Amino acid sequence: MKGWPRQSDAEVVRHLSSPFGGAAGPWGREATPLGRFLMPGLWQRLDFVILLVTGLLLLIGRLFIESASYLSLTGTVAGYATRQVQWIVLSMFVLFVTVAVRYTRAAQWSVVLYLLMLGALLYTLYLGDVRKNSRRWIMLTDTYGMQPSEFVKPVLILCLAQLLRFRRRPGVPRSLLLTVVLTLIPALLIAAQPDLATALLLFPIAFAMAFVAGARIRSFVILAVVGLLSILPIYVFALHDYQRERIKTFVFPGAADKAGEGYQVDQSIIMIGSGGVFGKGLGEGPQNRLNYLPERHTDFIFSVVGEEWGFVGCLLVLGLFWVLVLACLGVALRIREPCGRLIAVGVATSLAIPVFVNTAMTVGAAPTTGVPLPLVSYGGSSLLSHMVGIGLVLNVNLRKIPVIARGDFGP
Amino acid sequence: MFRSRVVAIAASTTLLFGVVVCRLACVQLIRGPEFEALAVKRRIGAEDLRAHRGRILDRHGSPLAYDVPGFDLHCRVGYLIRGSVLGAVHWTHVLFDRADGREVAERRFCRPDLEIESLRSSDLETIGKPDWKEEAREILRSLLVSVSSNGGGVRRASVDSRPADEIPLGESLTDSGRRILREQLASGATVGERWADGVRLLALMRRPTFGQILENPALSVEPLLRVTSAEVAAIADRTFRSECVSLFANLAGTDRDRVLAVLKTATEPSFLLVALAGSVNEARQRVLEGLARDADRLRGIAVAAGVELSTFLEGLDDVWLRAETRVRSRVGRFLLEDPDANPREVANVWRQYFRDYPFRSERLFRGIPFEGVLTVFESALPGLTVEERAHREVRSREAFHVVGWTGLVTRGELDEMSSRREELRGLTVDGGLPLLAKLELDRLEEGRLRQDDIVGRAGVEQRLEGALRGRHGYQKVLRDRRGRPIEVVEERKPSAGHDVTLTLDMGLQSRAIEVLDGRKGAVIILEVATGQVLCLASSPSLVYSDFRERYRELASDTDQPLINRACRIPKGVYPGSTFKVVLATAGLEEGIITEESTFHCRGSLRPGQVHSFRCLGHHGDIALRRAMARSCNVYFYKLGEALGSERIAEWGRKFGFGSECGIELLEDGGYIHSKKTSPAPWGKGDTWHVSIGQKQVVVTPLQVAVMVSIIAQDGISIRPTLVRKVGEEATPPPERRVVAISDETLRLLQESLEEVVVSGTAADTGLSAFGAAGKTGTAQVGGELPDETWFVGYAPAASPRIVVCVFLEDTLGSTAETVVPIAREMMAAYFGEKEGGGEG
Repeated sequence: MKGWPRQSDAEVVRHLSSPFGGAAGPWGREATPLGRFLMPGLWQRLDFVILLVTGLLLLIGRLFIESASYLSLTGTVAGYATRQVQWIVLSMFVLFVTVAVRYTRAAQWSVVLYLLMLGALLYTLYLGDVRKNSRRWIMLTDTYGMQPSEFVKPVLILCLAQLLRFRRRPGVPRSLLLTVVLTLIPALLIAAQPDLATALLLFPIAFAMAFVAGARIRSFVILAVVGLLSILPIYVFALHDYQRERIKTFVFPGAADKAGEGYQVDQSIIMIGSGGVFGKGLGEGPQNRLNYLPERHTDFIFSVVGEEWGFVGCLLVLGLFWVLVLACLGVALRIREPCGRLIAVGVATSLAIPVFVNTAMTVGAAPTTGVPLPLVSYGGSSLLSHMVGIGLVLNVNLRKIPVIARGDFGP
Repeated sequence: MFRSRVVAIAASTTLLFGVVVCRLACVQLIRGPEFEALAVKRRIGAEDLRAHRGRILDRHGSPLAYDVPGFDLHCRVGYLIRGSVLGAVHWTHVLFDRADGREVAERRFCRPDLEIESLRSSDLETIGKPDWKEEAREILRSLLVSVSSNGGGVRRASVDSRPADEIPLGESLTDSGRRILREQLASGATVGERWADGVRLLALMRRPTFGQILENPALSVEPLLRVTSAEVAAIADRTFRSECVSLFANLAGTDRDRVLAVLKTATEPSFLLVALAGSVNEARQRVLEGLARDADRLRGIAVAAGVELSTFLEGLDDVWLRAETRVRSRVGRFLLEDPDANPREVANVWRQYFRDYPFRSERLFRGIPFEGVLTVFESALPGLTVEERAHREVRSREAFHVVGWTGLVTRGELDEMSSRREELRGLTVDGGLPLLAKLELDRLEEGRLRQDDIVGRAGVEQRLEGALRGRHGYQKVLRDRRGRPIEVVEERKPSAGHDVTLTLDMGLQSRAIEVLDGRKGAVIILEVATGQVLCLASSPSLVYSDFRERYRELASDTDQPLINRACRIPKGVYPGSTFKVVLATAGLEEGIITEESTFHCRGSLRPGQVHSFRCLGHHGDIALRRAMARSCNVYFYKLGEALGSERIAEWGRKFGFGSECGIELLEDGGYIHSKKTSPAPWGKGDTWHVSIGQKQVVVTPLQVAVMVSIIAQDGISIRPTLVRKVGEEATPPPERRVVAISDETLRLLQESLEEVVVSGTAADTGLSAFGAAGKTGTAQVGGELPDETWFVGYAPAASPRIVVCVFLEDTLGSTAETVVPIAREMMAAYFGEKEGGGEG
């Protein structure tokens, strides 16, 4: 790509042999202040767009979590904002680690990570803590806990990237089938928690990666048919009452039980709608202040944005996400190394899909699911998981491993 | 290919985001104002602030009718299905059926059965599991025993007999509420203070929070501490479970303080039951216990409200039916009656209703005593609230008929007013209303009546409705999701109605009632110079509370105690000889008689005939003065014959007979028939009857009093008036009218009336002590019926100050024995008082 100095063979060799990776920059490795821990040329190669947008989204999230933690009954403020700051600090550190470790190395170890992840999921399923009617949590202390299901995404992305990197046409039966199976195992474990939405959201990521890796369209069509055929038996046999209720609420809003299941969406639309063009101002939204919307600091944070910053604020948040997703895809286009490409695409999808599902839910355009808004909603696990993803993309962009992908020569 | 596929993913991401943006634009830009309005509607609820009705005062400013603080028991329908009183009953149903493994009665979700008897008979049998069938039966049995033992009627004795300090201050009160209450009970505050404090108290306690409920030591939270998450997860009922899960997740195994802290932030009443239950099985049991406990509380409230428990339950049922009617009208089809209706769908209709009107309250009972308010708050049943509303208190007996009474505004009246408003609004021309329509509309809006308002139904309450009625205010209250009031965003203070000061002197009024002593009749005292009515007593008078209780009975009583005899005509009221004043004036003015001209009296007009027109005595040749003094009938028969019925009627009308006097009360006009106006054929006898005020002349005592006041005032007729001040503003002096009577005639009449007291029919009765003048009268009602007797006069004759008119129905005996003593007493009361007041 333009703007990047061609690397000499010596540089490539050095790059591949360095423990923390990274090619030497124009100043050479020794010139950097932190020596071998920071790659030379870091400042030129770091994708500042991604960093900046991520920072902005975290900031916005922090502001609105504070706004949404006011408890009207007692007139006090819940401690979500402070805890979120702690999570943000932690996630910065995780981001640094993710960037520092060479992603190819991580991808090589992805099978181990995958197995660890399955272990964590199984542990959660049998020994996790019950909260809100499901076992999704491993509580570390009373207030701090982890949701292992959130960390499935980066691991799966690494794993699939490793699997699909040299497949020009990973068709049925082998590669694509393996992809589906690799996704299905954690998905089923998550669905059993039960957390159907998180489980289902793994599939778009996997399919996007397979798609970009060159899978035949025909294969997707077959998969789609199989998927559609399985919907009915799943709806009837596998779903919980409340899940069916939610889907019904979405499909037949008229018959919705507005006091119960439909209440949140109903209230969310009213909140967003009452925001108008410019909103009521941060911390000034009456419905927000009066606690009309349960779960507004997590799943429904976008409604608070809608009420307090109005249409403009919603456009800003959505626009930032759009830039972030496109930047990740841009990395994929810039990079020649196939594994890195796939990681970038996977992370882009893992951001885009929850953003869409969450925002569409708050405006009544999608069924109610427990999917938080990435980076903005309160919640440590989700934040860490997405930061790992973003770290991977930054990592990919940083390395610029000069491997030529096969597709470049393909017809 | 890689590049194009990545671009495809970018494009589809853009597309998805675009969908959300379009939807956002639709919601926020296009429908924004609509949702804004909806949001405001959801969070801001309007409440009426009822205005007091003005007081009615006597001329010295002591109140005759006034609003006293009162409280109504209300029921918030939205809570009924959420596990309060009725909820407990209805839950039992649901649980019974679940226990049996059948879901047949989920329909009961919508219609909790309130008859506990039927609960037993229909439901005990459906309890499938033997182990708690017995328990349930036991509890229900004890419940039923206690219900039926109350059948005889619960009185408020147990509440009222305690001294004020011993009334337990509810655990559910806030500190400030408790303090106010204690001060109030200690100080024995006046009406006004009680009122203000009562309202403040209510504001503080309006909705006891969950935490306040929990402070009640009667409820234990200990079972809660033993709850394990496994038990919660095992709860089969989804509503139970979802409520419990979030509650219990943080609670299990923690200390009591923390439990309380968490619970205090919860408000859902059904939490309570579940939270305290611990496990499902225990929950079932608790529901049953709750049923018993609720019944106890209900009984307490019923006692506080002063009604029987059965009446109370009927009241609740009524409320429910009203809500159901509303729901039905919303659904627009008979979903609720359809036995095949999908229970879920029905439940949804209800929930929708409760979502839209979560805090709508329906009145259960009116006028519960102040102590009852405490009981309600102590019981802390979430569905029940107390709303303040004034009750009209009327000073009993003395001025019952003048003050009148009030009643609730009817649906019809409300509809009429609203249709009139609609009609006026429809008159819009070129975007504006015509001035008159606008004025009327403003007035209608101003005095807008609400349901449950009281309006005057009789007496001054009715005639001065416009002045007495206050203007309601309102309060828009910001509420959070649970309906807890956060702040008042908009308020219009209610403005009380004007006080109306009457001209009545309560000293005279009560003296009049006293001397009338329950006999049917009336006493009127007019102030001659001003036309002010100092006393307008009608007997038998009533005690207001008695009237409230026995209204129907009284309304159909043949004695017609509800009629104001001073200005209404219950049945034929004939002026009798008092009408001779009119005859004499007419004769003199028309030149038919002079002072000296005589008629001959032989004791009867046609002696010897069966149907003779008799006189009181055998007067021989008699002139006007003596004829008046002795009340010679023959003189006036002959005079009347000479005048003719037309001229008599004409002069009668000049004195105000046949039309209303114009006092601020509902009154009758009576009539004087003449040959022309009589509906029946007119004979000579009819003219004779008219001449002595019989049969063809029907009057009110007030008209007779006005007649004499015209003589006393030298021919000036003043409209009698009852109202001295409206608010702070004095009413203009009543209209005057000059009756064209020559001075000579007036002088002669005044002398004749003095003669009556000095040497005539009212001689030697003590009236002369006041220098009074007057005329007695006895009217034969016909056949063997007792007479009506009259005395009308003024005092002192030299410079008249008051006119006294006494009228008694159904009397036996002469006027000197019946009415004249009453008149004397009244004059004594007036002059004695005046003298005493003037010199002392």
